[in-house]
Amino acid sequence: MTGSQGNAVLEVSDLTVRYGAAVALRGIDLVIGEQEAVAVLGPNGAGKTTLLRTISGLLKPAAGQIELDSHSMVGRPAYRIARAGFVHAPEGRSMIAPLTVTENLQLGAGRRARSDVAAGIDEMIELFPSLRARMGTKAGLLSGGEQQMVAIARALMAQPKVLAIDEPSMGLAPVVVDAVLEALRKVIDSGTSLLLAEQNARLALAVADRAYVLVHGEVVKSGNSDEFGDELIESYLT
Amino acid sequence: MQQTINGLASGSIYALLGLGVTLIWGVLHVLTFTHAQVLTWGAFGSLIAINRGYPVPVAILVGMAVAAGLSVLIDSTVLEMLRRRGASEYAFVVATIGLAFMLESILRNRTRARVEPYSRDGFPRGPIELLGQNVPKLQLAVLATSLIAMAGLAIWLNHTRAGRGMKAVAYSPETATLLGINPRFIYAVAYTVSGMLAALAGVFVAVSTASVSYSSGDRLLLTAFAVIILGGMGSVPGAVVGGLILGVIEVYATVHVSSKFSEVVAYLVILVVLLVRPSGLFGAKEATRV
Repeated sequence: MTGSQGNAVLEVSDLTVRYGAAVALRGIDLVIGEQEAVAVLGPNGAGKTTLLRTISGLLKPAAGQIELDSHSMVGRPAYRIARAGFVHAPEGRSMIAPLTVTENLQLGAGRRARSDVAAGIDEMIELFPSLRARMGTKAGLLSGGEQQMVAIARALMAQPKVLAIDEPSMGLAPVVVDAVLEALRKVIDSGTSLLLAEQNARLALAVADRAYVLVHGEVVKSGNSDEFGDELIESYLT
Repeated sequence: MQQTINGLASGSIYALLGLGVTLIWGVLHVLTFTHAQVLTWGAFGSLIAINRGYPVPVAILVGMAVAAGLSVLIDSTVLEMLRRRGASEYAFVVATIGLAFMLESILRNRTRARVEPYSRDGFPRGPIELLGQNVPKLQLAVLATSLIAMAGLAIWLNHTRAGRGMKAVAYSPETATLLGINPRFIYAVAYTVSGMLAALAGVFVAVSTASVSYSSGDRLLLTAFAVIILGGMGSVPGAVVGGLILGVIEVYATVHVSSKFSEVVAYLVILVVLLVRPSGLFGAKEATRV
C-alpha cells in the first residue's frame, strides 16, 4: 500500500444526488491520490453504488463537483468519462455474455492502438492466470469468480487512471476473493488508483490505504485503513 | 433448379431487407416501419443517378448514401427525442409508422404518383447456362451481390472493433458506455448499415421489375417482418436463412399453386412460426442478438 493524497487523481466535492425527492447522497467529499487505493464502505443501501454510478456519469448529481485530473466530469456523458480514465466495473460483473473472454477484453481496450491490444491481453492473463484456458469461452458461461476476473481485466484493458469496482467480493468463494485481492494489489503497484465499493469492510481494508464509511448517503467516518479497528467496523458496518 | 435459383435470388433480396430490420431490432429494440420507405428512397436515389448518366455501381452507391442519410436523420431526430424521454416501445412503433406515411406522402407528391421506368442498361443481361439450365445473369448477379453484402456484414460484426461495439450496445448499452463506447454513435452506425442494405434491396427490386414507384416498398415491409420472425428476432444468420427460405417458398407456391397464393405466403409464414416456434429458427427465448 503506497498511497498518498499528494496529487489528487480524483476529487469529489460536496456531491449531492437525489432520486426524485429522496436524497441518496448528501455533501460527499472524497479524494483519491495517485497509486492510492480507497475503499467506500457501508451497509446495504448506504449509497456506495450510487456514488460510483454518479462519478462514472450514469447518474447526474444535483449539486457538487467531480474532477478527474483537475478536469470537471460533471455533465459529461459516461462514455467520455470512461475515455478520460475513470473506468467502472459495476456490481454484478456485467459481462457481454454472447462474446468470448477475448472479445470482452478487446472491448475494454477502447482506443488503445490495435498493435497494443494483444500485449494488453497477455498482461491480463499474467494477472489472472486461470483465464488462460477460458479465453475462447463465451463470458456468459463462466463461473462468478471468472466473470469477476474478466470484469476487472476488461476495465484494466482501458489503462484507467482510476479503476472503480463495485462489490468485487459479492457471491465469490473465499479462495477466489483471495485471488482477486492479490490481483488488485498488483494493479495498485502498477500505478493505477483504485476505488472499491464494498460491503465486506475487513476485506476492503486489507487492500485500501484509506476508507470512507457511508451511512444513509453521508460520510460518517474517513481515515487511514489502520484507524479502522474491529470496534469501529462493528459499530458502522454490521 | 431454375425455380430454386429464382427463389434464392428473391430470397437474397428479402434477406437484405430482413438484415436491416433485424439489425435495428437487435441494437435498438425498435421495430422500424420506415424500412420500406428507406428502400424506396434509396431506389429513387439510384434512379436519379442512372438518369443522369452515372454508371450502375456509382448509382447504387448514391442510392445507398441517400438511404443511409435518411435512416440516420430519422434516428438522430425523432427517435433520439423519444429515447431521451424514455418512451415505450409502442411509442417508437407509432412514430415510425407516422414517419413511414410522411415519407411515402412526400415521394408520392414529388413523383405525382407515377410509376417510373428503371433502366436495365448497365446491369447484367441475357441468360447464362448453369448446370444445364438457362439462368438469367441478372438473378445470379443479385444473388451474388447480396451474398457478398451479407458476408461482409458478418465479417464486420464479428471481426472489427465497431462490430464488437455494436454487439456490446445491443446486449447492454450501460456496460458498453462504461467501457467508453458511445451508444449514439453505434445507433447511427446501425441505421447507416441498415439503410445501405435496404437501398441495395431497393435497387434489385427496381431493376427486377424495371420500374420504381412511391409504393415499391410497401409489400416488402411485411416480407421483411416475416423474414425476421422466421429467422428469429435480432438474429443475423436467422435473417439470411429466413430470407432465402421465404424466397424459395414463394417461387414454389407461385409455380405449384398460383401466383395469387404467393402473395399470402409471408402472412402464412408469420402465422405458422408464431404458432409453432415463436422464437423463430435461430432466436433464443429472449433474443437480443446481433
